[in-house]
Amino acid sequence: MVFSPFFAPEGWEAKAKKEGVLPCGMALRQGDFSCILKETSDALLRRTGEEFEAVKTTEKIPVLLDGDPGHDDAMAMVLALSSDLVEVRGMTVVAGNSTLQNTSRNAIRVLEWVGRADVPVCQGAARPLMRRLEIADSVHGESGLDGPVFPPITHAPVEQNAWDFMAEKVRGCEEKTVLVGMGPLTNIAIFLLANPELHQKIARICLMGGAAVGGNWTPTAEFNIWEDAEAARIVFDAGIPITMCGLDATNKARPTLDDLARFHAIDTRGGRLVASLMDFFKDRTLPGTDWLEVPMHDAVAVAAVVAPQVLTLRDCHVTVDIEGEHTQGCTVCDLRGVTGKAPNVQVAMDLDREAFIDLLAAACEKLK
Amino acid sequence: MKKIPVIIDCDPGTDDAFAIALAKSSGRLDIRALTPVSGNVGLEHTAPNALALNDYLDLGAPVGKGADRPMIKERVVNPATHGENGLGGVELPAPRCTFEEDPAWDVIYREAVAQKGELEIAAIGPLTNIAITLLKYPDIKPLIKRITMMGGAWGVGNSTPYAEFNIWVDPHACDVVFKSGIPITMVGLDATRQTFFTAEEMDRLLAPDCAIAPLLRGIWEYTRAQKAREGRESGIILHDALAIAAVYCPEVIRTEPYFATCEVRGSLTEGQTVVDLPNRWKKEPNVDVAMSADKEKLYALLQEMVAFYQN
Amino acid sequence: MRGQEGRPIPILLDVDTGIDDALALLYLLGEPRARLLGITAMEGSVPLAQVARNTLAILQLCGREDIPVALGAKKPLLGQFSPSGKGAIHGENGLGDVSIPDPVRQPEPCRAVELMARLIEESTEKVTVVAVAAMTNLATFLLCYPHLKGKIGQLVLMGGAAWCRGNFSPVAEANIGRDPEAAQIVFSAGIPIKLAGLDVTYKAYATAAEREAWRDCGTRAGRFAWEMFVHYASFYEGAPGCALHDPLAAAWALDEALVKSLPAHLEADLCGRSTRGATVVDAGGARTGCPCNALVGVEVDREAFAHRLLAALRRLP
Repeated sequence: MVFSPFFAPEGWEAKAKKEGVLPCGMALRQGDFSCILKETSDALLRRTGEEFEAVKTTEKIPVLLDGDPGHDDAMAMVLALSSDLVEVRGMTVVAGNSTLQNTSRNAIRVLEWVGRADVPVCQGAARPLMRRLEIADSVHGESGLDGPVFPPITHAPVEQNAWDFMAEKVRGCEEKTVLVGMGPLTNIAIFLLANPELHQKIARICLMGGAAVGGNWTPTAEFNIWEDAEAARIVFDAGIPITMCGLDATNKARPTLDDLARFHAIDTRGGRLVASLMDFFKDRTLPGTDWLEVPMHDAVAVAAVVAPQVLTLRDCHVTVDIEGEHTQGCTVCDLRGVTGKAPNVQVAMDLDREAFIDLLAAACEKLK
Repeated sequence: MKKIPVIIDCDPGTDDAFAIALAKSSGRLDIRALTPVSGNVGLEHTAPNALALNDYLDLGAPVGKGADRPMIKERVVNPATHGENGLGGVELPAPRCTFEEDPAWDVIYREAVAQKGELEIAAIGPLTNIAITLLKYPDIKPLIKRITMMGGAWGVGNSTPYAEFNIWVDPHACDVVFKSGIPITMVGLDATRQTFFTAEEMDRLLAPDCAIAPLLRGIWEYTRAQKAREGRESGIILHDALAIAAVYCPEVIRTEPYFATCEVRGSLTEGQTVVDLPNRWKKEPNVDVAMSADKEKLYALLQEMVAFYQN
Repeated sequence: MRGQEGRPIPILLDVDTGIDDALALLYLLGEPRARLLGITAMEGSVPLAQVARNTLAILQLCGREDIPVALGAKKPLLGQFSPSGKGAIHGENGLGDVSIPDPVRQPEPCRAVELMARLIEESTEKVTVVAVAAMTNLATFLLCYPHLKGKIGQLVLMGGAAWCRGNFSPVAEANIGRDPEAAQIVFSAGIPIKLAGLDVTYKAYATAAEREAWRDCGTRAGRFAWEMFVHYASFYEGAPGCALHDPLAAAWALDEALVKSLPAHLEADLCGRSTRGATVVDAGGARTGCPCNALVGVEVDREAFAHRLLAALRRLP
């Protein structure tokens, strides 16, 4: 059996013993899967991102972004908009990190800042399917994108529902579309429910959400999934290929102070935006690391499309708990194959942090 | 050093047998009773096994039969891992001792009163007996110094994606125990998985002849064959032994205090021990959760155990 | 079932007294076909100590200080009680704020489950358990003494709402809703169950005239019952009378013919977001294919019931 070096850094056991702390990712209670894999038969494929089929296309991959900007959504947008591999055909927004009003304004702010106001923005759900909206202003501030000073916006959202817009774009594209989910999955769930005939025209849904172990909004739930657990359940159970970029990988998407200086040195619109987004969080580091507590989660979902090689992916069955007393919004990942259900999701188990930072820096350079 | 008075609530169980043998060999534990419960296999096996181990290991402890099923859920057992008889097919000599007349919960209460607040419980099976004790005797709480339990996981489970067997079998019992206010040490899969002993390590451990070699080797050979049948890496995790070791040798695990609760409702997550690692709920910690284990230390304790039975 | 013609039936009563609990107790004390072995108390609309006090005071009022009373659970099996809709209906003291002399006697020094075990073990015949509170004591008993299950002839439970709305939540009745896990343990114990739920207990009402007949029946107990129900009746204004939930369970324990019932498979819902504590009743087991474990009451011979109750109150001091 082969173990990926990504699951745990070389010599981590000795380090853990000596220092009494687990290495980087494990300090966040994510990432130590080596013992579990040891117990597991290798029936489940472990793959690296290089096998990801989308990259093999020579054409640009048609992509629709759906999110709730949000600092990390903004970084994700920078990464997607600068990539030569994908063509961003639109951006739909959803309530989540902040209200729908804020997230749609923020999406337009970011697009205007980087000179891509040509990308249409479309408003979707103002609240989860069945739950009350709870915004994350404790993280993203009152505006949902506190920090950078944006000029007043000059564009307006398209007069169309997010799900109708998605359907139109997916239907109108010869190739299969990749959906990137960066917020609660409300819009995508409604789109999937309303358009069963278009499921086959979705190449893949790459989403930021969930965790194989742990959570950030409850002990077992990540914010995007927790916010609209029913929508997430609909999306995960839809039978469409999914790449789940959860906290196991995205918690490692953090810059160091040196990285921050590097972004400040990038004198482009992209560089200035990302640096000022990061500045909002620069005062705190994650316990046990030299990483700044800058959330970059959503950018990993875009990385799964444009540079999947930075991720370690594992096929397993995933669904979402919507009924537990304590576990609602938990992405239940069957890493050991104990449920006997066929894998339906590629779960990002780990992230090559340096490669990811390089990727984002290169993206910033490109967005003059 | 004064011995720690302890009741071993167990479901022997292959790793239970190692754990009980380890407890005896340590010389640090005053084993006040064994209280078998239905778990790895049914009570009809675990109770006679506990009695037989009591005799075979010369514990001289009272054995009080416990629950033959979980509180509310239907009974589930795991004979594949533990053998039909629970001891991997090892047949121990017929015991000369007999069961206590009182059931497990009465034995536990009696000992708790007698030990005046010093009694510890090592619970290495489903927590049914402990929960029934707490329900029948709510006044026992200040009399139990600590419950060290093998069960649960803050990470990945073994019976379901996130639930560990002992808790999954009787999540309601775990809920009662977690809410009891008694100090708890949870030795879950996160820690026990770090004490995977390879076939080579087990062979080396059991190479010296000792009085109980037929038991230990029999169990190991059963497990080795079982792993081979399933095509899994050869070796064994002695989950329960780690929990017992943690009672008298706390440095064998590293714990952190957290708030923990047991999921009893979600059909996907039933039996998951939800540990609030990110402190999102801002509740008082109620469980010392084992975050990691010292494999070498446990191995050394097991070597001492083998040496003990050589004399 | 004996009773009608034969010897009195040995009965254990579990209460959280409670106005209608008190009337159920009075009924059993005045009914020659019942032989009340003992009473166990459970925290209810008033604290456990008050429940015990009320129960002992009523026994004293009726000169039955031979009947042992033991204290049971203060909390449900899991966690704490969630707030209940029961509250005000029983008054501050649990007896409609009617004052009766404080009892001289103390509760037994043993726990409720121990008293149950002792009385059941000592009984030469099978015992009927009438439980009119949350079923925590009964469930704990079943967990601790599984070998005594066989000596319980029947469980008569006031609880549940099969086809009508609940009084604890829209679908849950209070005795089940307050401890659904306990109810499920009791339901699945394999002992024959009679479930007197809200479907039938609301039909077992006492009119104002019937309650006045208690007052005028010439006994202290009758007058006390009437007095308690003055408070209780204020919650039933506009209805033909006030529901006698707990007394009906007690009366059904002694008289099969009093209540029309359906055999059914009975479960308590434990997991529902809005249906936790609901009694899921599958008549005949037709939908689930599960064996029937209970008789679920649907109709009552109200006049016969009223008659029995009055006769019992007349026999008391």
